[in-house]
Amino acid sequence: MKRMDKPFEVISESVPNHAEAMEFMEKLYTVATPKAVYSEPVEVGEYKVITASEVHVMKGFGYGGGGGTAPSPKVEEDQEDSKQEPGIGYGGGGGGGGTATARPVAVIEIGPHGVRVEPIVDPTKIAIAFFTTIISIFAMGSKMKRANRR
Amino acid sequence: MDRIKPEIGMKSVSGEPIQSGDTVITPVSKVFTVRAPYIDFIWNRPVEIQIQKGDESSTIPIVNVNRLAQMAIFGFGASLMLILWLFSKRPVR
Repeated sequence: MKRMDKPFEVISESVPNHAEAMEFMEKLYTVATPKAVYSEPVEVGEYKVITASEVHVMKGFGYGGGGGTAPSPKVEEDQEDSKQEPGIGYGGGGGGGGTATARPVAVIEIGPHGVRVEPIVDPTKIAIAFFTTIISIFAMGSKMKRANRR
Repeated sequence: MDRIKPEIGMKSVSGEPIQSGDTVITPVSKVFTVRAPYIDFIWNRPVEIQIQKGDESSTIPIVNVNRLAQMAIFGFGASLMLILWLFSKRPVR
């Protein structure tokens, strides 16, 4: 692992915003707290309502740094065949991306009668799952029929 | 600069208690984290609420009915496909 540290140091020194990028990535970890899942209570008359959601966050990034070689040492001027090799420089770049989703799962109702948890049903999600399954079953069935005919 | 050490973990986290009259509610969530150099994944979901009313304490679980329905549909579909495949493999008499 020590061999990997040197290139890593070169990358971290050559990329100007590396520190800010890492800081930004750390900030995204605020999602890993209950505050991201449970909303602030909303008071409606005698009732308090809290929304409970499910949160996913996925992120990735990568980049490469650069370096170069120094020019070859100067040689004597009176040597006709001598040539000074120029230095070579190279650079790099990088990028990243991510996704974040939050979906409500339930509503918590706090009232004079007590506490109640009401689940939230998402018919779109269920319908998508249902139709995906049906299509897969039909596709597999027709494939098996064709295979049996041979 | 510190390098991120790869880690995978799941833990339950309690939120700030909410007072409503004589009832105190503490929300609890579960966090699944995958942390690797340059890749991070966080899944945070509500699990239950703990209710404290005087000396009585109770817990109400929070169930994601959408996930249950999806798993039931996919499970049924996969089972049906497996059964169909097994039947298709049977030798024809």
